[in-house]
Amino acid sequence: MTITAQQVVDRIKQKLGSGWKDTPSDKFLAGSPDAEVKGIATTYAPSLEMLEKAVAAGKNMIVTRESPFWTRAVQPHGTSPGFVGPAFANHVYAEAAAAAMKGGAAPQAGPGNQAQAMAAFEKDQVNVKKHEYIAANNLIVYRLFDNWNALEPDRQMQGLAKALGWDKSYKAASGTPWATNNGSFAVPPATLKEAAIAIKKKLGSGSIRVAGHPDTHVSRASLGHGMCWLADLQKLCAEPGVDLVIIGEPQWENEIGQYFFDTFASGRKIGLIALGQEVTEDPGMGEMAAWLKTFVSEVPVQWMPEGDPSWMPY
Amino acid sequence: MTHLSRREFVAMAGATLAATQLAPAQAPKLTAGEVVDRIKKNLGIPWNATTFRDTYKIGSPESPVTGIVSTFGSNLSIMQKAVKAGLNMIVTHEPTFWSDADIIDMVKDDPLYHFKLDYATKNKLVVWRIHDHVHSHKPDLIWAGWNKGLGWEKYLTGNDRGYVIPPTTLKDLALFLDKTLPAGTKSIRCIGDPNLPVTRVATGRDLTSMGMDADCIISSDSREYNCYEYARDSVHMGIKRGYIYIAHEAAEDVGTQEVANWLRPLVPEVEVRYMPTTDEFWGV
Repeated sequence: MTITAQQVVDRIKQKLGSGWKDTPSDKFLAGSPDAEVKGIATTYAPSLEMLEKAVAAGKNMIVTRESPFWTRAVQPHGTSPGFVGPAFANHVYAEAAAAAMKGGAAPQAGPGNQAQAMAAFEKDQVNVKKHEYIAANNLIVYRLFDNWNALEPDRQMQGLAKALGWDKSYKAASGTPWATNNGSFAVPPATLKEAAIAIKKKLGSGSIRVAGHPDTHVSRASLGHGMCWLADLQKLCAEPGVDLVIIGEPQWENEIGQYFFDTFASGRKIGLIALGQEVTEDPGMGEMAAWLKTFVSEVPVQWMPEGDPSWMPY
Repeated sequence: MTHLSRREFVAMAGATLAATQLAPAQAPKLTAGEVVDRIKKNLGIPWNATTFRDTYKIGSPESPVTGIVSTFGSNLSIMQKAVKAGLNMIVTHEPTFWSDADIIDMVKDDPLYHFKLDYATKNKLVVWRIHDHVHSHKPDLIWAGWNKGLGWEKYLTGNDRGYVIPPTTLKDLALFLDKTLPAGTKSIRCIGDPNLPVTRVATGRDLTSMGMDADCIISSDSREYNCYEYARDSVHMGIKRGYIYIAHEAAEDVGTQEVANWLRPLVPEVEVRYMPTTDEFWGV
């Protein structure tokens, strides 16, 4: 029995039934939908290194959370999803980047030009080489983001809780158990610093960021993952009894970071740990692989996590 | 303005009048509106009245000013320090209520919003943001402060985000930033070979800046799904380029020192103090 990439996607849609919504994110980003699938790999974001491993393992279809080309729909700066606010203020950095790529000329004064920068980026050597590798190896990349996120329970949260070894100690004070950002976990009592070190070791991350007093006693944690917007952090901080808040990445530091610093400065005995995107999202892609296996039996399905590439200099 | 603070304002105006009678040469009390007017007049560029950033966040033009704090973020901890220092006007670079446009709808039911607002009101603080106009100023005061703070003015290349610095390594450059920035920064994350030789440095932020032709890109408040992942691929391809990711504070706090230096001669009546907004993240 053979199966095409489109048939895999059709089964995903069938499995989700009326829950499926067409979104700008969930689509083929590379390869032909009609190509025959030899094997499927799931991952947080297909890096070149991960793609090489997938090729070596005979997996030609990648089902991914983030794009291999490092882009997402642009969110207006300073807003939360769903808020239609002032238009994104093009940043001068983009202009500088475009100028630099054209040979280092000084950028023109005035408002930046994102479109110009992105046009220049099309010729960027890393961008070009990655497209070439994907094409040369006939890889198919399908992004499954919005529809996967819409599932309840939140599989990304469950995957992360399992990776932390916390899934058995979950409690929802209200709302739907395992809904995104909802509920909290009894965690081994420790100081904030001890907890951070233990989590770093457990998840194998290269660098995690912590805020709060290192000696703060922690025993109950709320758990976010991926991009943390203001509404996410408000919910996580408001979970009853939490003294530890875990997030993926603050979107933006001058908003989310400062909200937490203010929470701390208001006198609350609480710590925050920002684990990062890959560290908080890859375990959920393991859940996705297990889920795909329940309705794709023709080819092997394997979770191929990327790992955290960062380190701290101290 | 509440009834209470209006009464206090009237009382204060009376006190000013009394002082004027005693010492006729003394200037009338400085208001936030006067400070803002002087800033607008001296910027050297037209004021963009449509900015949603550069506005009052707490207080009003009538609020009396006892002293000015220039800082990156009008955090509660900065407010506490400002109150202690007797400086009641906070000129901030970044938002007060945790969204770029300070959208109160997003926080109006949050106890932290009321805690912060009550604290500021009780202590008669004025918070006014200047972000767009210090970036548009010639030169960009925030980047001028960064160049000065790091001692990198002499290393600038033609591109005003590029430098040729004395030879170092990726790791040592990261440590240099922590040591040299006035508030330090303990949350630096890097991608690339720690021993990578570095002389050509560029500063960036977005995905498109990650591909700049330099030995090292120093990038602030960058998103991981694009900037990190691009860096990972670039390093894996063998490109000799390292990446240093620093907090938003680490990149811009030092620039608010320059804003303070620029502002000081405009308001000789009161103290203008640079108050560092520390990057409160630390790493393990």
